[in-house]
Amino acid sequence: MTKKRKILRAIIALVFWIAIWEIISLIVGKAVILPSPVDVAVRLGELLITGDFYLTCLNSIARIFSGLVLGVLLGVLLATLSKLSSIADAIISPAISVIKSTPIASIIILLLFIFVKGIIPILASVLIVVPIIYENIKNGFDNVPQNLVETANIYNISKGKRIKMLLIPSIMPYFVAGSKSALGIAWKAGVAAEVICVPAVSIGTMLYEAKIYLESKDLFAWTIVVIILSFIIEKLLISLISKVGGKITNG
Amino acid sequence: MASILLENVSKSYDGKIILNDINYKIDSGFVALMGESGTGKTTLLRLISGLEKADSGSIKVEGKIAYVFAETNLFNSVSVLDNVTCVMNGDKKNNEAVAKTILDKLGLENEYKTKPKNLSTGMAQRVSIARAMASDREIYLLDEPFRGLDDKTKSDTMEYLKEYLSDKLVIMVTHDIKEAEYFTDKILSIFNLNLTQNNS
Repeated sequence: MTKKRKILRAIIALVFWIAIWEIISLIVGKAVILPSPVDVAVRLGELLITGDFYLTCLNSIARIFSGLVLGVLLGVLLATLSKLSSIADAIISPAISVIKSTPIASIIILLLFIFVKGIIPILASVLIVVPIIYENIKNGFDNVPQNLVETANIYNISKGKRIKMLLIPSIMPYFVAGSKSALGIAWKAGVAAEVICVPAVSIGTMLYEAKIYLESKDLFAWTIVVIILSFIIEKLLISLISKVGGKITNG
Repeated sequence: MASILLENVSKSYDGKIILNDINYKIDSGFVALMGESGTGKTTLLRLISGLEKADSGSIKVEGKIAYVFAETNLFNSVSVLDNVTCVMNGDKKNNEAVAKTILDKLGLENEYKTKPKNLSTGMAQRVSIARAMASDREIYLLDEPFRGLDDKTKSDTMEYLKEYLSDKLVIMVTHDIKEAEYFTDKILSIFNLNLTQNNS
């Protein structure tokens, strides 16, 4: 399918769903329950021309992105420790399983007891990202091609060269896959954490306030902002991660 | 001096005996190892190289081993040149010069920067041979090293290899009697789970 046709199809789908939304909002007839797409678009336009809007978005992005980066680093570190030491693995693996099984809302509320609310979205993102990266990197370690390990052993290839030529290229596809999954989840978890702990100047706080004050147009407008930002950030970062990962894997 | 001593070596996989009570000593020179597929030729090379352990018996190896694997086992993330120099120690520039000389002799002078995944089977095979040669070991285990090579390239590669390995201990697995005879008159076969020498 050509690019033009793809764009056309996407526009048709978008118009279709907006029309459905408009029809339902007319049937409901109460803007406080379901505002019309036109009202939401107008509200979104109003938001877009304020400086606070961009500050709010940047704050949320910075928080969640910090959590993502910290989570990725911690996940890689813990997976490496698990690979290097069976004792470390015995300690780390159950903790990762517990984090993975705990609902994100419980994690956020537990964190609220201990930490100031400003850093909770960061910590929530970290805790969501760590298990994903940890498991992917561990799978990567487990799937290093044995024939190449044998070659490295036969020729006594140094540790540094093994890491560069064998380990990193083998693990990179798993790292890229893990990072792609983690990215979307971290963003959703981060915004959810902001809604629960309402830190100053954040998208989550705007969503929370919109709900409290029954500002449905604001609620819908900010939700659209979350979706668009998620889409843009995912596209940008995934393309960056894939590019760097591909270069390392294939040289 | 390089040597390989096999004493009562046996190996089985999943209860199926592959090699049974092998006793053999190789002091020097070139040995060709023949036999039908699945008779344990590669297994024997893997046991000698230490990649696998024998179920019983002992294997004593004097000298460092280079191994040309049947599947080439090249590192796809780095260039042909890096694949060859990675087995060398010492000065990088000097290593590269030596590696380039070997690659040139094997007809790979235009492939220094190529990634192995972009090479043909025959080219990849020659890179694997170049890597083994660059490692400068005393013992060479070659598992079907000329697979995928056309007649002309095979002939050139064999000639260079014969000259280069003249003072080494070499065991080469092959299915081609002409290949074997080109290098040596010491041809071993694995028959009935054991080694038999066919002097021609």
